[in-house]
Amino acid sequence: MRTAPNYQLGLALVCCSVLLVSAAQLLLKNAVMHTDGLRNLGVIVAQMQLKILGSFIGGLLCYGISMLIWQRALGELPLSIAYPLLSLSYPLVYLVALLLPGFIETINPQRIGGLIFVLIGVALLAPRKNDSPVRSTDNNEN
Amino acid sequence: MTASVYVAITIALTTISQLLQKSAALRYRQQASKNALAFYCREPRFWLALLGLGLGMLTWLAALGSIEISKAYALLSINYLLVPIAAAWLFSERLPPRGWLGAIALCIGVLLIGKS
Repeated sequence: MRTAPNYQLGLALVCCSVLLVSAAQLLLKNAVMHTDGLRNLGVIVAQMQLKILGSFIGGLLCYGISMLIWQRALGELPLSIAYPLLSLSYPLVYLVALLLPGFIETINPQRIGGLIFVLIGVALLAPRKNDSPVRSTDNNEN
Repeated sequence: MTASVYVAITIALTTISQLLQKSAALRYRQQASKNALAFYCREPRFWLALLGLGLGMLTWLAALGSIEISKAYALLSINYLLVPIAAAWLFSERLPPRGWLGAIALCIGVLLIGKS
């Protein structure tokens, strides 16, 4: 039997995964904005427009790496806690899109409300330090 | 109509992929080798999950082509309840009541973000 699941490590891995997914979304959004919804991606490739290609490939790469880190995170955390925490990428992407030039995100009260609900949800879901470990078929601590 | 079918398939694919990934992670914990990369390369559930995620991305794009984004997001937010319910059922995970409240708050939040 391997060592008991490590919640702290799991949460750190989930955070890495969220950061990478958010970066992937921004990079892909950037690529899509410059390719008219990827419709003229072929032209972009033919013309070797490296900035856009880099954004596209970088986005896919970030997704791939985040998936691998996610796999490791699931070894340390219950799925029912880890999966909802992924939604942290919503407020993160919104914040970065607001700060970065070019994404033209306007402030929308309903969206802000939604983001607050997401943050409340994450705060409720995050395991507390004195939580009894979530029981799971193999996550028996001993 | 077809768009809702695409969204439903996307929801099913992403949920199943998460369950496969968790199942692979449980198997990893049960074996002796510490080399995660070598283990997952030989774990069919991991590759099936990867396939499911890829297909899910395609059906999601297909859905977005023929449905309002807000509607699509609203439907996708079901995932935040579906995954914990499936995990409770299949892996005997037990969220505290506070956790279920959190999942419901997330659903509402994502719904609002999609609608804005």
